[in-house]
Amino acid sequence: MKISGPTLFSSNAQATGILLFLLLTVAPLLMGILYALLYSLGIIGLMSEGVTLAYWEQTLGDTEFWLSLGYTFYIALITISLTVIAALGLTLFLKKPFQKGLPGFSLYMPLAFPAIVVAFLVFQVASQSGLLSRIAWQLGWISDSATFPDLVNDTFGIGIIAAHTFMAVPFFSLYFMNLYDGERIRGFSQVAKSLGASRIQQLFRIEVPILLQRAFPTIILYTIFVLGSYEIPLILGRQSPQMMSVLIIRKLRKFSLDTIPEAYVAALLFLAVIILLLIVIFKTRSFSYDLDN
Amino acid sequence: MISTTSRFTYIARAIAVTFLFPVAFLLLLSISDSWIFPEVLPESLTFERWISLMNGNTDLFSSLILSLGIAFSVATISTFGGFYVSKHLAYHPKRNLWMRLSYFPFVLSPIIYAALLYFYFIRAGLTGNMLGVILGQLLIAFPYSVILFSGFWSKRIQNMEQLVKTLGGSRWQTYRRVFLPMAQGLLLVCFFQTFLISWFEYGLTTLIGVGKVQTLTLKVFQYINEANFYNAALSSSLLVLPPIILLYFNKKYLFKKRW
Repeated sequence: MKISGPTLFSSNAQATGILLFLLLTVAPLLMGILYALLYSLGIIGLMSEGVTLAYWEQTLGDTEFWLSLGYTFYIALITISLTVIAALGLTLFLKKPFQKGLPGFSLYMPLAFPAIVVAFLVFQVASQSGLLSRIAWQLGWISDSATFPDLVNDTFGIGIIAAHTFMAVPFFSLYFMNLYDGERIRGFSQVAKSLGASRIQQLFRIEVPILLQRAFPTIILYTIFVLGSYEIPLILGRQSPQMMSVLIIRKLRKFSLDTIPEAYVAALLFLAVIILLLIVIFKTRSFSYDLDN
Repeated sequence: MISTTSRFTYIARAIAVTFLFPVAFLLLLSISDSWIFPEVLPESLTFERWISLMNGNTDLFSSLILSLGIAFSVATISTFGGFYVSKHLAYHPKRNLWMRLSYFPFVLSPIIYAALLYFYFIRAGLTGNMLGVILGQLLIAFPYSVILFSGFWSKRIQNMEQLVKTLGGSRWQTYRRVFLPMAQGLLLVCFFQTFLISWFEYGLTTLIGVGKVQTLTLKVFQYINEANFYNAALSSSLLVLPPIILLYFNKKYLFKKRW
């Protein structure tokens, strides 16, 4: 009698499925990383002159790279902080009116907007010749468009943050509202109230902590999305500092071939940051893929 | 005196107007004939741009058809491919590893991912054409679809599959009579969500398509660069319209917890 040992796949169909997954998901990523690594080490590429760490040293010593990385984190952290505060406010104080009628419908509207359209809208509304500037002129607050403050292509990334926040607040509000009902937070809050907790205590000891704890993986994932955003900083950002995606693509598409290996070094370092953030999410308890019954 | 409840209702309505304003603003800008500083409203209106679009006399119309074709292909392949593959990942002992791996391409900035893969696309002759753009977008939409379907496959579904097998049902019958009808709602959500991933894509499309595959998002960017804001508003309106129609039918198509 032939006894077969444990096999990697239980059937041919499973093997095909997993192979397809590896082919479309894992292999391209690994191939991309390998190519970038070889290019950044001078092993391949049009300017290749053998193995060198020069491009890595150049990038790690480049102020523009560190400024861009810092700027990217600054934009992402401010955006996500403003978004979470606004979405918590909408969920905890305005949940009822936002669950019916026009407000209920309107909350979904920004989800219908691609990033490039939101960037265009913010430009049309907040630039020096935009709608806000025109209103300010009509009210006599400014004498000409040049005196209107820079809200787009500005140093502090106000336009970029506004565009991202506009897109993220409705998403997080809907998400928090779903969590609020799903996690029976109202019930916990009522119990605390009957035990003598004030409204402030209910909010800050029960409702906000539960929502933030449950939403933690989603908050980090959204932060990663903002870190990697391209269209919004491309339209609303400045020449310097630039967000990481814009910087990498600029270095990659320059006429000078010297900057291509630096672009790949920057891309690999940025990828490392994202992998670290993903590992943080994977360690959370709510991020499990065990089979449900 | 205004009660707290009605004050909250007024605040909610004011915020609702802020969320609805962009649609009205885009439509107004798309029918503006002249709207220069410091006018708050357009000086004159024209429907000429919309009429030429409807008549197919503009290259925006071909961009619209191209975007629809790409998005439809990406959504169809990634929905059915993701459904099939997610089943096999879900019941594999290394389930957790596969699911975690599927997050990497999905969360990585699409344009950086495209930059990493650009060399391979050139070698395969997949740059500057529709096929390359579809494949590039699939690399993002497919893992998303796998993540979305991962919650569907449970022990209950597995037991049901075994029951069908015991009763003599083939694999094809199990899919056709059991899995697909049970997952109908989720399949629709996935189709529309992956459709939107493709519909909204700009960075990867511009890099892999080398500017030759002129989807609507590329048109918006081109018009912004040319300072042709009226046409940018028209193409933006076209981009926003299908998601709003989806929203009218079912809010779930636009909002689904993605992880």
